[in-house]
Amino acid sequence: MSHRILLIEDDQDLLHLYRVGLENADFTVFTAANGLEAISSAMSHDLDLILLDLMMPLADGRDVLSMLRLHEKTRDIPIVIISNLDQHTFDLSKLDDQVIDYWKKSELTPKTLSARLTSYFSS
Amino acid sequence: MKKRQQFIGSIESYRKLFEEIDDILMIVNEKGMIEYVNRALRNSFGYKNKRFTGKPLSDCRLFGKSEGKKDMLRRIFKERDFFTQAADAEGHLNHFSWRTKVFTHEKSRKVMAVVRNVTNTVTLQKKVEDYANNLEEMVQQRTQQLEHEKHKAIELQQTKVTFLSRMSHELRTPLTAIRGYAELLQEPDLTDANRRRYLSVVERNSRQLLEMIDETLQMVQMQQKKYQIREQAFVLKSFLLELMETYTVLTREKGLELLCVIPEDIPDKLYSDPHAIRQILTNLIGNAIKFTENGKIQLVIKQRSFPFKSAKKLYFIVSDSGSGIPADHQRRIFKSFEQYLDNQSVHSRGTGLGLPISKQLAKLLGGDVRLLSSTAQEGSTFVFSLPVRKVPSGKKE
Repeated sequence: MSHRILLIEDDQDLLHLYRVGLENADFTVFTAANGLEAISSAMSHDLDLILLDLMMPLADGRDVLSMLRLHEKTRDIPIVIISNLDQHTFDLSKLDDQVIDYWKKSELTPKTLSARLTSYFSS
Repeated sequence: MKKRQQFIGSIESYRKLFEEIDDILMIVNEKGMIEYVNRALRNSFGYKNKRFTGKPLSDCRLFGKSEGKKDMLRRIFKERDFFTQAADAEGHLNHFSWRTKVFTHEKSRKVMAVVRNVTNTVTLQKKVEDYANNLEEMVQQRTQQLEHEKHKAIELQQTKVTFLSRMSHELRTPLTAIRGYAELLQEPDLTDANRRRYLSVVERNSRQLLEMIDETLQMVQMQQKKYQIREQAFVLKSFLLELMETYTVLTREKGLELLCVIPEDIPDKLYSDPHAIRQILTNLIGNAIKFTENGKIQLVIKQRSFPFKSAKKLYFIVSDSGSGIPADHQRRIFKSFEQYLDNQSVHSRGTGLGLPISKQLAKLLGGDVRLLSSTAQEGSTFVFSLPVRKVPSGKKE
């Protein structure tokens, strides 16, 4: 069974880009373009991992994190932050225990994203 | 008795010497009459021939007007060391330093006084004091000014750091898309439809990237006062129609109505910078389209004359039926880089420099860009005002 990923990204071009890339690598992809969609999607699917953009309208990445934390169903889903913000502009350790990594989007082509996820799930 | 006679005698014998002394030397009796005074008194006031011997002390302008005869006598007989000030015949204030010695001669008490005109010293001293006070005040003011500038510099530095960090985020977003789609385009079994779609994404994102770089450079030029407008004569109506034409496709795609109202009486030709005007209107109309999901975008032109002035103004009023600008955000929209001081929750794509640049451009043209009104979910109205200037004679049309 393929791994189920929730991709949260407000930029439509990037959302489409990563979805195509992940689907090409046989992941099952759910998408959300803002924080509110993200919560409802996370509540209604069984997810293996969430890719979360930080800067979004209608509840940004930080709000999404704290809301996911509130619900038993979503509390333990591993999260990878994907952002083009420089890492020094925010403290990853302060975000949440669920956040397992931070990937800079400018380094993330569809293939590198799929490769990193494949390597995460195989370890 | 013998001793006193000797004393007076010595005055007589030294009279010649006394006459040469620069300080005023005088003997005054208990009635306040001058019994002897040397030449210095006359010299001091420029009275060449006036004689003071036998005249009352009050005649010689050594005491202020408020001091009566009683005060004068009390001071010269009781105080040994004091200062007086008095205006001379021309109204200039003079300062005198007094040293007095009381003695008795032929059973009457007299006083010998040495009076020195210290006006120059006092004036100088006062100048030094004033200068010292001023200097202190100046130092305080300058210190405050420097503190203020330091504070501003720190704030500016912080803004610049935040701006750079946010800008790099904004620049990376289209770059990420360009790089990613370039990779997808290399897939061997890509459909034609997808290839076209991906190429258009690459094209759009590279255009956005270029716009952001251009805006940033333009703002830097403006802040360094290096940006120059280029004025020329142009036909207003065809300029506006051409501009509106570029938006018909975009608004149709979004299902928006696009209206342009141009009154008959607008000037045929305008002398201004058409590139700057296009940039301002492009920004205002572009924003209107960007933030409106349904309804209409309107550009209304109005002309106004001012009584008693020959000047006329054109108003370009751009209104939309979009989401509106939150009240707490309205005061910042024209300030460059300032949105970057906010926390990350208020975020819009792009450099955020469009409106600040438009306002500065409008000001360079002698006009302004202002937000007229904005209501949540009802829309916003911006107005760009521009002075109407005729083509200067001798200029090429």
